Amino acid sequence: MSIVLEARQVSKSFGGFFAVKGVDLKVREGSIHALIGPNGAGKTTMFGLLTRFHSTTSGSIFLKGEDITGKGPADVALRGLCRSFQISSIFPGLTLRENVRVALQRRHGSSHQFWQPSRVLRRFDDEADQLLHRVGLTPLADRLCSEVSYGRKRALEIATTLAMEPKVLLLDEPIAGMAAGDIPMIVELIRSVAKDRTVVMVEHNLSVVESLCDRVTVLVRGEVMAEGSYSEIRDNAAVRQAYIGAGYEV
Amino acid sequence: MVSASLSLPLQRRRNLNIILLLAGLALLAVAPLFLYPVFLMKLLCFGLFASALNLVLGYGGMVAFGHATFFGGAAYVTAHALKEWGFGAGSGLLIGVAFALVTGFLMGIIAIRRQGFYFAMTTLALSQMAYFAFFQAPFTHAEDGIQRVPRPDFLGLVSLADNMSLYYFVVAVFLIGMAVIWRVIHSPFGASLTAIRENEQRALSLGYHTNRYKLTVFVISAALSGLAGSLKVLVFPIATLTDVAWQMSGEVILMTLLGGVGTFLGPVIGAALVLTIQNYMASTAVPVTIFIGLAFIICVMLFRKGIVGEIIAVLPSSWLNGSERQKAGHQ
Repeated sequence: MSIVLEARQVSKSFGGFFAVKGVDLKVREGSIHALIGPNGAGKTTMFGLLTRFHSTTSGSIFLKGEDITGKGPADVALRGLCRSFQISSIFPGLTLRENVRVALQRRHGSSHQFWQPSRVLRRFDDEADQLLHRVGLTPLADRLCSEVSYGRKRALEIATTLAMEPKVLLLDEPIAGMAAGDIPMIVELIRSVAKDRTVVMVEHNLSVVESLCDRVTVLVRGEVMAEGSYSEIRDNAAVRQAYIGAGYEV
Repeated sequence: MVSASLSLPLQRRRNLNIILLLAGLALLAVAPLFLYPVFLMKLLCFGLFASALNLVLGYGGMVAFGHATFFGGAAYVTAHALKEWGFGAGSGLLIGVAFALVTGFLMGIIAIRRQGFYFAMTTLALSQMAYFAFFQAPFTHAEDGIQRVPRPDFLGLVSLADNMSLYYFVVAVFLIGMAVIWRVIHSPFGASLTAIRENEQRALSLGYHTNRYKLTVFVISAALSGLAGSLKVLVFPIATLTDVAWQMSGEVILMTLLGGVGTFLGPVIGAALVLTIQNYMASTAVPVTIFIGLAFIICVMLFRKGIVGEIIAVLPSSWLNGSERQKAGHQ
């Protein structure tokens, strides 16, 4: 499999403190790749760097071979690298359908049209409804986002991101803060959307990582400690020592 | 048919909008029979100015504190063009709008790089620089201002010398300006702007170059503010420093807040309220700013959504779109 997303010696310093230091990362096309590590390991900062929400202090990032280090977050989103956020990020004052439509109108290039009436956006309703159906939100399509549960917001965030038809989907702790009953739904959703795209996810729940991910990179104090399949990582003594804790059985 | 696809409540809302539009037009047509036309024209100029600011403040979510530069600056340019260059009313308005558009682009391209408080302070600082530039520029005649500005015909066809004919001209320009605002906010661009105001980070992650949208709406707002300022020169044949001073930027924010930020008609209602207070309380022994301050305190304490915002809040939830429902506090 070819490499779709690559970080070469990427570092990020905040006022002299290196949150990410000399990270090399290669994500294979079509894989589900997990970034794991204890709190403060630099996972979310790494996500910010990959999606260009943070500028790099040094190093380079490549998407399908193109150097995107100098690009902005909107540029890389339009190139097919889209992310979700650690804390559910939606448009609270819009309905669920309108949320998905925001992404669709951008992808279809009609977001700048100030001379057209807003009813032209209804041409995206069918596609928006299909995406909502895919994540099980059809009955809530006309509800305000602020009225639905956290789990539904996370599902909506994925539907909205999928509306961009991303080649690479970055999910930052997709099941964090969710009720236990909602977790299987999101796991199945991730498995389903990963069938035709690459997924990179930050996740603390190791059973979810084990069941979903082909490849795991362990970050500790901003540096890559290990990389491999879940079983390789599980059997790595240094990882168990640093991340899980000595004497802990995975 | 689009209307056939609308739900009954939204169809009712649409009908209500049409009724309000027709009532508003009828009111504008007969208002000068009951009220002093010059006062009405002033109200329309400031209503358009506040509505233009509302594009940035209410729909863009940016507190701009320098719109007097566009309003007063366009007034100076139009006044100079009419008096010194012999421009007609139409071309006079256009050159004022062009000035505001260019100035808006220059101010916007600097200010939109910052958000919140810093954005507001950047616009204030830039408008103060503009104020001193106008103060020093010979063509503005400093404290004297540009006086006795002629009131030329429109396209050489329509005489604006008479107050009633000028009134209907001002109404026409006001309606064009409001139509532009309506189109902008009820368009795919308006939907993008709402999304950016709601969650800029998320919009960025969905491929929106948010600064471009913010700059676009800032420039449109500046141009319309300029149109309002130029129009005011036709009504009152004078352009002075008052219109470019920071107090003017504050006053138009107050009008917008009182009427209802992010509502279409709120700023016009707010402008009417402030101007009415100024007009009728000016002759009392108490300074008029006291009354305006009281109105603002009452607004903040009792109806924070502004007059129109509070009216929307009592409409049935099913009549409202998502943003309106959230602003109205409906769940």
